Amino acid sequence: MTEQQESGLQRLAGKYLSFVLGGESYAVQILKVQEIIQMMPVTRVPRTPPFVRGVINLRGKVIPVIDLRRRFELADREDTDRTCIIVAQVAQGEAMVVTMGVIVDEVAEVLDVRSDGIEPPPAFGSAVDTAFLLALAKVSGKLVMLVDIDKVLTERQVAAVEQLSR
Amino acid sequence: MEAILSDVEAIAELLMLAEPNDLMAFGDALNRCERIHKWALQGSHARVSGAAETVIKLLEHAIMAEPEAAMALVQQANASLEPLQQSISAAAAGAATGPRPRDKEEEETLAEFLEQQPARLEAIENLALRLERDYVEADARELYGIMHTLKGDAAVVGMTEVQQLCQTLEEYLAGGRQHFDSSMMLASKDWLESYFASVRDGAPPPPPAATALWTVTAEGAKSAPFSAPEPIAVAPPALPSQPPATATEEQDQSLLEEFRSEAGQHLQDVEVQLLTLESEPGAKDAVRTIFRAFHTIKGVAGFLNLSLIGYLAHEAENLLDRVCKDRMSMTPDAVDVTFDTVDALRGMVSLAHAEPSSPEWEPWRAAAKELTARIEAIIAETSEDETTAPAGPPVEQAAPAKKKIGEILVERGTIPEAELTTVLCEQAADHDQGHPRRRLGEVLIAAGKVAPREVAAALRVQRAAEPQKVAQVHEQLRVDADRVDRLVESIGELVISAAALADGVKLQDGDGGQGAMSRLLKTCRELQELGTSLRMVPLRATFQKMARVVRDLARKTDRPVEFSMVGEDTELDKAVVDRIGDPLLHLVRNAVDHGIEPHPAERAAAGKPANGNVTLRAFHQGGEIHIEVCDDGRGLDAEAILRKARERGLVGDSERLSLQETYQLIFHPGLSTASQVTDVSGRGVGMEVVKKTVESLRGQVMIETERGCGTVFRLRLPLTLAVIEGMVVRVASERYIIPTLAIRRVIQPQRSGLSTVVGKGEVLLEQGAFVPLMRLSDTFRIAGAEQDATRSVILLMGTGRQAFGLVVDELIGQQQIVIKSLGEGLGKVTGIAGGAIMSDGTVGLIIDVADLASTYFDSGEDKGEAK
Repeated sequence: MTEQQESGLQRLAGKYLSFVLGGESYAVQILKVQEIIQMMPVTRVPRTPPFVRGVINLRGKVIPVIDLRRRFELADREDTDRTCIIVAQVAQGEAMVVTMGVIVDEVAEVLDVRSDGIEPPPAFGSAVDTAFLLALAKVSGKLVMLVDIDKVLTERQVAAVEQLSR
Repeated sequence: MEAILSDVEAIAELLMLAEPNDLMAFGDALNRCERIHKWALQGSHARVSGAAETVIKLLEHAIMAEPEAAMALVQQANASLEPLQQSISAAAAGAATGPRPRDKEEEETLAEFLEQQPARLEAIENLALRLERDYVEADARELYGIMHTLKGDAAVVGMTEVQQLCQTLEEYLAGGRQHFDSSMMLASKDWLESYFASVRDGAPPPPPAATALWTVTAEGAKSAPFSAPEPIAVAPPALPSQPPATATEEQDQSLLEEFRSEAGQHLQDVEVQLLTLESEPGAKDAVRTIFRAFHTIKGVAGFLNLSLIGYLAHEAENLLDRVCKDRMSMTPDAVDVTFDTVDALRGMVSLAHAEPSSPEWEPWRAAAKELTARIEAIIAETSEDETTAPAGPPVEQAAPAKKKIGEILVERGTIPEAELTTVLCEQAADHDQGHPRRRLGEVLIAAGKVAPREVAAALRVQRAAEPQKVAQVHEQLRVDADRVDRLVESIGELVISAAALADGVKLQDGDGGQGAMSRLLKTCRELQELGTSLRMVPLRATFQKMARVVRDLARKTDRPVEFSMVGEDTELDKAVVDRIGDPLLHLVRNAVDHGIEPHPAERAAAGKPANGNVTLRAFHQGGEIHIEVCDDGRGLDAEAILRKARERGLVGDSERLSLQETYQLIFHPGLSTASQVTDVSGRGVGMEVVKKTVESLRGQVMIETERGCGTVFRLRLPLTLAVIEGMVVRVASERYIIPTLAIRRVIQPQRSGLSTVVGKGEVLLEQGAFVPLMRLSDTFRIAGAEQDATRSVILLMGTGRQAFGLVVDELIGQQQIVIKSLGEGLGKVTGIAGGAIMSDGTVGLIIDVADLASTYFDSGEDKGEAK
């Protein structure tokens, strides 16, 4: 690994919110998280990609929610009472910040990821498309995948919507 | 440049040699100084203009002051000449620093200034157009007033170029009807617009106004008012053409004579208008007339070197200017001081022939000083306290009570007026401080000699209005649009939660909660209406823009067209008004370019007046706004449209269309009925924009036309974009909302009316026509929907060839819907206009009918081609 890459990884150190999806641990930067809410009725929006579960009413504001299982191409599962929506603020384009929800199996804890525990994402062998991962992190002996939430919620989405509507 | 420097030297010499009461010398120095000031403004030499201003101020004070004080001031002025000279040299050497960055306060002033301009420009344009059609003195005066105000404001924010332009326009507006050129005015307005835009966006400024205007006037139909491309060089046409410096003694005398009679007339006007103001403090016309009178007196007095008169008139003008700009109201104090100023001016004008050093001037100098102080006190008072402050110095506060004396005197009528007048004149001549009571009485009667009826009327109204002196001005608030949006949004939420609560109350509790509940609902609805009304703006501005478009286009295409508008005060959601401009523009252009016959002869042959007519009309109808663009031109040629459409393959040869369907074809891109494509319209693109925009506003375009008689394009638009009436429908377990406006009919289909046509799918026989059916369950891929159409409901939507029936399982009900975006994260979803929070707290999706139809029909056509 070059030094540049390394210093890039070091910058990822900080507080993360970890969550569980399909039995594995993931985490998102806590600064991106606006709030965590309980699962609520979601209105399906036709002509959107399958990973868009639909829209919800977040105190009067309509926001889209993404099914992270479908986004990561994991098997579907019934919602349980531990199923949560992580409401995140993601950057879209240059200057726009968009609020979106992400449905996860359950929310775990807040982690302190230290710079010496961060490794680059594996080129293969992961259950998840590595394009969505920022890095791997070891926190108290456990492996956590750091998710690039901006990419999860924005990339290729518009294209996908357009494709479907054809 | 040389001239400027020699001016400075001349001033220095004048001041050095001046006697304390040599007003002529002071006046000359003042004039020269003002010339320097103007030069500095022209060249944006801030330091020079600042230094010049200092000298001007000192000189002005010196003219007003007692001899001893005057000398001190003159010495000060002399001392200030040095920095002035230095700054001029620096400016000449090109060492003048560039514009320094604006500080925060200036930034804000500028922002406020810019914010005010669109309305002002609109007014200018509107007035110019009105004057062009019909020259009315009052309009010209109003336009003059606007220019004058703009000039002043531009000076505050340091836009010298704007200032100069306004100055020029002002001067030439003063020239009256024969000097009026609307093209020039409109071009100026356009230039100002681009100038302000460039300032706002930080873009490079447009080419100098002089160039822009010169081009217009040079090619304008009327003779160019300027003899040179430099507009500033124009002398005010109202003023004597020869400056007094070169005038002979005799000419001077006749000028003075003229001035005396003119000024007398103006002062009389002021008095009459002041009486009007006494009874209606808000009368804007009166204020403007007074302002204008003082302004003229000031100008002419300046020309004749009557500095003291000019100075006092200027002070009064300042006061009235503030009233004009709504910075203060015409309080009794202000009226009184204006009356007194009129008296003083009258006295001074009668002395106009006397030598400036004559002792006769002495009392007037004192009077002018006292009046200036009073005016400044009033201005200071009102600028400290922007609300209409009733408090004032005790003497003046007693004024309203004292007015009754004059009133009684006149009312009795038995008292010989002449006697009273002489008494009062004597009192006025005594240069003691005039008591408001006496002054007022004198004024009333002096005016009474001219128009006693007016005085009587004024007095009567005055008495009736005695208890309520405050001007009735509707207060206008400028509010951040975001806040209003949030307000409307949260009221929407309130309505929804109230509705939800109402459901709950109905279930649990019989009558107890119901009353409270219905009151709550009522309040919510009221709040909602109120909130929505905050967003409402009249269509006037948009319509007025069209007036300009018609005018310019009529000139360009050389056909006489009259424009009229009806219902321009109709109010519409700002968001709609903002977006309706483009479609209207296209329609109006089309009306002039294609609607109105190109030759008056053609119109005459058809028995129509030579002038074409384009009318914009707006009105409410059934919870919608209708906007009509009507012309009395040729009308649409249905056959030509159809022929063209067949040529282009838009309509099959065997297809038969109704007239309305045929007319709707003109909205198809690429279909133009114009035999020749002009640069104005006729490419069909414009019409497509019309339809697209109107539909995106959830409205419709209808066409009524009669061959040879004219065409009416009618836009039907919802009142507001924030709230719509929606029909909630169910398909399987999903709910959707359809704007009620889009639904033409609801049909419970019989089996006999349904059939399947190859290549078209399911159709419904409706009033003799086959209407294609669209199952929402198919389009939106909803599982578990009702398959049997006879057990479903069909909503008939769209018109003409785009008519279709939407098949849903069930109608749930109609309700008011607050539209929300689905969130930027999703982008535009085909067929969905947005979301709404339903009474159960979940999100319902609103169907975008036009969008749905176009994707459906487009893909249908594709299929047809594939086969």
